[in-house]
Amino acid sequence: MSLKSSASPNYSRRKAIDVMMRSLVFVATGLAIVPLVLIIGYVIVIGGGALNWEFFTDIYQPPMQVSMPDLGPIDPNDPFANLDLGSLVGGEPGTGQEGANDEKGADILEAPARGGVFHGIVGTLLITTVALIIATPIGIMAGIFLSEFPDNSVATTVRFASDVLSGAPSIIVGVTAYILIVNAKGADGQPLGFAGIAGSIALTFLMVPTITRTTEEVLKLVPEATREAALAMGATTWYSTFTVVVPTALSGIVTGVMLAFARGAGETAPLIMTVLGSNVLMTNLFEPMAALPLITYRYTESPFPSENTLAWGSAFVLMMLVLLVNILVRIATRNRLRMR
Amino acid sequence: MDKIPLKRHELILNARLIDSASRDADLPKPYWRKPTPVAGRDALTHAQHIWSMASIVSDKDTADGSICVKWKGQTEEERKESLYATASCPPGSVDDSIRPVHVDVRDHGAVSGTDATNANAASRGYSYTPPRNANPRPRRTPTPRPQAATPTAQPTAPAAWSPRQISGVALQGSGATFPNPLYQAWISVYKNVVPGVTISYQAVGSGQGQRDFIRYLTDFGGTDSALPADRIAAEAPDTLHVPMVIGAVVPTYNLPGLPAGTVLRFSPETLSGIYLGEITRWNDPKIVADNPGVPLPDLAITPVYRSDSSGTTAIWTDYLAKVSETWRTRVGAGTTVRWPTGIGAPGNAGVAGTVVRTEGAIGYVEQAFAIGNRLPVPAVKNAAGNYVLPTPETVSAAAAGVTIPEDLRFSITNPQGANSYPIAGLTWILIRSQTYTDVPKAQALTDFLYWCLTEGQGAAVRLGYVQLPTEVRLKAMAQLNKVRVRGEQVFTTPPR
Amino acid sequence: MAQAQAARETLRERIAKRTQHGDGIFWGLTLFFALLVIALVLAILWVTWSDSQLARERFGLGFFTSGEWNPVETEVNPVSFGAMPAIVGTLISSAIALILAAPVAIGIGIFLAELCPPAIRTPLSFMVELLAAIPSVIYGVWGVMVFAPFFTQNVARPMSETIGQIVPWLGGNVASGRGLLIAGIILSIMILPTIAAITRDVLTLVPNTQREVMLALGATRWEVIWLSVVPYARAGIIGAVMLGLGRALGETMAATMLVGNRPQVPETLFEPATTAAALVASELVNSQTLIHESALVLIALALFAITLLLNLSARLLIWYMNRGPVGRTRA
Repeated sequence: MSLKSSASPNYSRRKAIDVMMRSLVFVATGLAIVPLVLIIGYVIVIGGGALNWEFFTDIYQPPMQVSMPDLGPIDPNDPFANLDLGSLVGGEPGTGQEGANDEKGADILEAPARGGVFHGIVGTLLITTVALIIATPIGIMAGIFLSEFPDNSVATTVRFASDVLSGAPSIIVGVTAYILIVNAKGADGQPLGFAGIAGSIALTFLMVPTITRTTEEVLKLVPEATREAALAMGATTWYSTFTVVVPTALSGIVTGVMLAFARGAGETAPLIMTVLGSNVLMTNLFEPMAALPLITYRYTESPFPSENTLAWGSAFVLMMLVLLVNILVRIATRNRLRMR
Repeated sequence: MDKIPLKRHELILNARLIDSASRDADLPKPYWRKPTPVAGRDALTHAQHIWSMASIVSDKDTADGSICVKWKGQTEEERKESLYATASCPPGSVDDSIRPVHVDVRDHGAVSGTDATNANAASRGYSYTPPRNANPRPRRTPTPRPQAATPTAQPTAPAAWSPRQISGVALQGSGATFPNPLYQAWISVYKNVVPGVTISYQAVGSGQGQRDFIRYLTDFGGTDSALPADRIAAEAPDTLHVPMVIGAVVPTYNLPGLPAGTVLRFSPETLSGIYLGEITRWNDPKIVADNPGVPLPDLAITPVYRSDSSGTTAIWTDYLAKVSETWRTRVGAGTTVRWPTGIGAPGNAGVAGTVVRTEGAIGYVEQAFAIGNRLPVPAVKNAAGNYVLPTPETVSAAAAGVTIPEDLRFSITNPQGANSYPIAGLTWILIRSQTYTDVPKAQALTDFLYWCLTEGQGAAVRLGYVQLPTEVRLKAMAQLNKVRVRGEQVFTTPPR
Repeated sequence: MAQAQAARETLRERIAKRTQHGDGIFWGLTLFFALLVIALVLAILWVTWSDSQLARERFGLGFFTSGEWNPVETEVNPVSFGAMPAIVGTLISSAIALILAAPVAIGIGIFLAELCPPAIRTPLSFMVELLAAIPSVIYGVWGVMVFAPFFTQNVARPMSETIGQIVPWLGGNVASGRGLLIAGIILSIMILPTIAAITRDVLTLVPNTQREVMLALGATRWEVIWLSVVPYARAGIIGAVMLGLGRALGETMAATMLVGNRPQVPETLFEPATTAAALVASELVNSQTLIHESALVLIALALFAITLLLNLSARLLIWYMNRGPVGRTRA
């Protein structure tokens, strides 16, 4: 008696469905990988092409430049009297009668990209780091609370609040920080204005849930035996937590912090409302600053090739930052994940 | 055709481009163009290119009062071929120390210049200002300026003004994208003039610029749409509008397949029809009527407008409202309107970028954005019925004859002049007259603005904007005197 | 010897004495920071609630159903604030994103949880999650510069010329390269990893008894998954989809760059439109009047409230699934 004869009458159909659906989900997974490869690929190729030493060390240079050497006295009646207009590094203001055959316009389009994003790199690092400094204590302590006192209504609410924050539209956070900080009237009746610190506070909203959640998970994974051993030595709960449990989980907490940094560095919407952006290097957190995602956003639609290139280049830098952090975190936690 | 006689008193030529490379003796050919024989108005626009490379012997009068013109590097044959007659230059008059000058081409008519210089010229029997001289860039050693061209008749010595060397000041501004290429160029140069002052201007649109300024989030604002009087009175009564430059708004387009060198012409009906959604394809009879002989493809038109609150939109819709009754009643004018059709992009840069990337698109941008991206600059029919290109002459003509109000807020769209470009506007910087609290900041700001109004005006021309008419410029400078910190004036216009 | 022991005891006592109150402080301190997290959410709610007061008082609930968004008073059009264009845009783009992403993401979750060879499971999961880590502005840049031209040329135009003739909302002028459809597609790529990761996680948690029962009945592998594992995890999967929906609703940057920023209800999927997040992002900094700003904050508040509710329901569902009634038979 063969198996076939004892099989149900529609076995071949079921088998066919089985094979078809299994290959479909396999294809679906492939489908997810395709945009990933495309996006990362394009950013690497086009953005990578923008990178050079100048890109990392220079600040914004306008796409159309005029150089004006020392001119001497100016007659306000006739400013052109002693004026040397220097030389135009860029396009000729043509009448368009030559149409696309304007050699001077070609200078702008084919000239190498000018300027760089040093101010954006510094700005992003400053804003995100300050946000991290504010968010980390909150996140870690909240995570400790959730893992040490897990079963009460406060804990449930905190977990829920953390989820809400991590899933919140980033524009909401920007609006909140804008109203709370940028627009709020200061002591002299004038508002604080756009400031890097306002952006940091906006990013804090988004970073805290990541750190909280990771800390809680990692602390939960510390074996109960470790805690009990500490308690057996006579240590109080808080002492054992801070000296034994947390250090054991420290690498996990650090990965949580790194992930939060990567998340915060990539956010744009909160920064639009709070930081305004800048074309110069600004390290004072109470003034508007530049930031990489802002540069990417503002110059994407720009027709000037030099600005466009800046957009792609800063997208590249951002992406590399985020990818590297994520890969590092993955490598560091592979053991932890395997335990699951 | 007959050569146009080059009479000194008939011509004021405006040089638009001087390239350092061109000052070398062996000038590569493409850098200057030989005029092709054309007639009428086109000859004048061509002349602008031609004269850009010219060296004019300005201080050597020739017998018949005409100017000796010689191209740098031009050979004798080429000079003979040139459209404009030139007297033979006196021997020894042409040498490398003669510098390029600026002259304005006019239609053998109007003459311009300030009162002082006009008087100066008149006293010598001429009815216009002497051409301006300039130093070529390679020559850094100060050579004696040709003050001899205007000897004793100069009423006053030019005031020696340079900005105060203030340090440790950061100025924040935000606003219009319209003048952004120019402001960034100015800021970039000013860094070398006053290194202690850091200026950052973010091009976010006139709407945000006004808003940030009114709410004291920035030190100065940039806008192409003047604040309405009620808003000033209600929210920021000490606002001063300082006009910086005039710019032309051009309806640039992306239409592949046109013969090389062709530039379209638009009439007000066409433009309003396109943006109203009534004209939807490029080969619509109305567009064909404006452009006889041009093979227009059957391509859908995609109008592009500003998605953010924009002064450029204000200028554009102001113009459309003036030329189209339907537009005025259906859509109106303002920094943001309900567009009947089309797609929105942020900033002048966004509109230009969208036009570049979309076939069949048409969008309104400031001229510099079209030039900088090799987008075509079309001719627009003005109120007098002439198709004009936006050149410094036509745009200046638009500003001429307008009564200038005391607060310097006025519009120059759709003027009546025969030679005026119809879609142009001023762009202002907003500053406060009483509520600055930091003296060095106010000083640095006013110095910077004054510098832009004087030295910076030449750069404006070079980048595709138009310098302010003298009267407006002088009034703008006077506005700077009104800035006070705790009652004390921070800036005084240097004496004339 | 006894002295050493006595010394150690004293040490222990000393530590105990010094730290005896510590637990209370510890509890209080961590509680404080935990409450701070809740306070962050409350801060958002309070700020958006108070700043939208002007709009709430003037418009009431009708704000969300009226269709004219005209923030600037002109001679022609009176000022009117209606959130309908933003709401319609948000709903349609999110619906498109869900329709495209949910089946694919659930499929990916199934594959990763059930069918994937263990060797490549981790790298594949990682790659899928990497999609979630990419900042949304980079999605926007890629969408504008790379995807939009390709899509307009190869998908939108043919679609509009063929199906668009029959189905009006798939026709029309496609030249703009912006619209609800393209925004929806990019959004679907963005929410894919969210749904997939959670699906994978809940499927992994399904007890093996479910699978064994089906296998004992002679089911094919697919039938095991589809008829037994997935229904068991149904609640969790729905929760995952809801979280993905929440992400799509709130997505700001990619939507702003791709949706066209035209605050009117579009007639086709290829016309520029707007979403709530895009509207707030592009207009809040430009707003000139207090009522405009207040209306925008009201939209932001509504958006936040909706994502809050979605999160709540999703978490409840996943919690229900995790804790799920044990012993109830599931087919």
